[in-house]
Amino acid sequence: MPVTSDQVAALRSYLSGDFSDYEQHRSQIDQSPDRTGYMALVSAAFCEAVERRFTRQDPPDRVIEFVADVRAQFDRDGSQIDPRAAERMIRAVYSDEPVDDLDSATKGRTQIILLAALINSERLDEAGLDAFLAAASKLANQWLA
Amino acid sequence: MRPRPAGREHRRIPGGEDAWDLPDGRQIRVHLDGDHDWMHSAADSTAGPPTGEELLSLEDEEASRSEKLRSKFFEKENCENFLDAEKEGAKIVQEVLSPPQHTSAHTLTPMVEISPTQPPHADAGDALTGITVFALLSAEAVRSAAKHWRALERT
Repeated sequence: MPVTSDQVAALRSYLSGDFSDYEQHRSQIDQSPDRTGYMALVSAAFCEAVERRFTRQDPPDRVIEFVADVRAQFDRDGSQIDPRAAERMIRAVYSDEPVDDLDSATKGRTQIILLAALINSERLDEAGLDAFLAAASKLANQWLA
Repeated sequence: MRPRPAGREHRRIPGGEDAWDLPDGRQIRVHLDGDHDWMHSAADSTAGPPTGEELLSLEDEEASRSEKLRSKFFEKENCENFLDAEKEGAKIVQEVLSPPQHTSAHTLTPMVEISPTQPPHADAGDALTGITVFALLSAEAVRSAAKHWRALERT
């Protein structure tokens, strides 16, 4: 089953900071029998956002600095983001870094936080956000096919 | 049959090409190559249309990228754990970017209520206790008086 418009709307609301709308869409997704589409969309969006920000040629310090900034903003007690896991997940998008040893809970929590930070820093307008979500949906649908 | 762009000057060029002159001065040429129309402008004549091999290569690259990312980031069987944690993560972001209203300075200000202290009211329980104490003290006084009177009589 491909990504649904509700799933795209949920992620769009989240990334644009409309959290009441996000919660509404998210609760509908929770009640839906097939939630794999939303999982694929979140991960695909994370991959797209990382590819826009980092390249294979970037020095490792860029990723380390970015994760440190994200932790300073979103993880003040230092318990929510494992910095090593976050850095590895970013590098895994554009390199051969393996991430199969990371559990799915770590992946889910880290990806959604990093995704917010990546998109916030891009300061996308409405059209830019739509284009980003279209690319993420396309990749997610390739995974789901 | 190829569609003709509306409102544009159309010409047929020898060699199997159609051409349109756009209002802004650019020229679009369409060359029929097998089943495909390859469109290019005269100003961009050095960059030729992609060959079939190039297109196949691009498709392969995209499929390879998708497959590589899918194998690392999409584990269908762990969907529930992933989404539960994803929801927690989104909540963390929400708390930072959009803190709940009840944490405003107004509600965090301690409220001290000052009101005059009311004097204690006597109630039925208090009256009953008082009567009982009075009766016991009276009985004790009578007993003491009687005891003292009998002692005087003996002497």
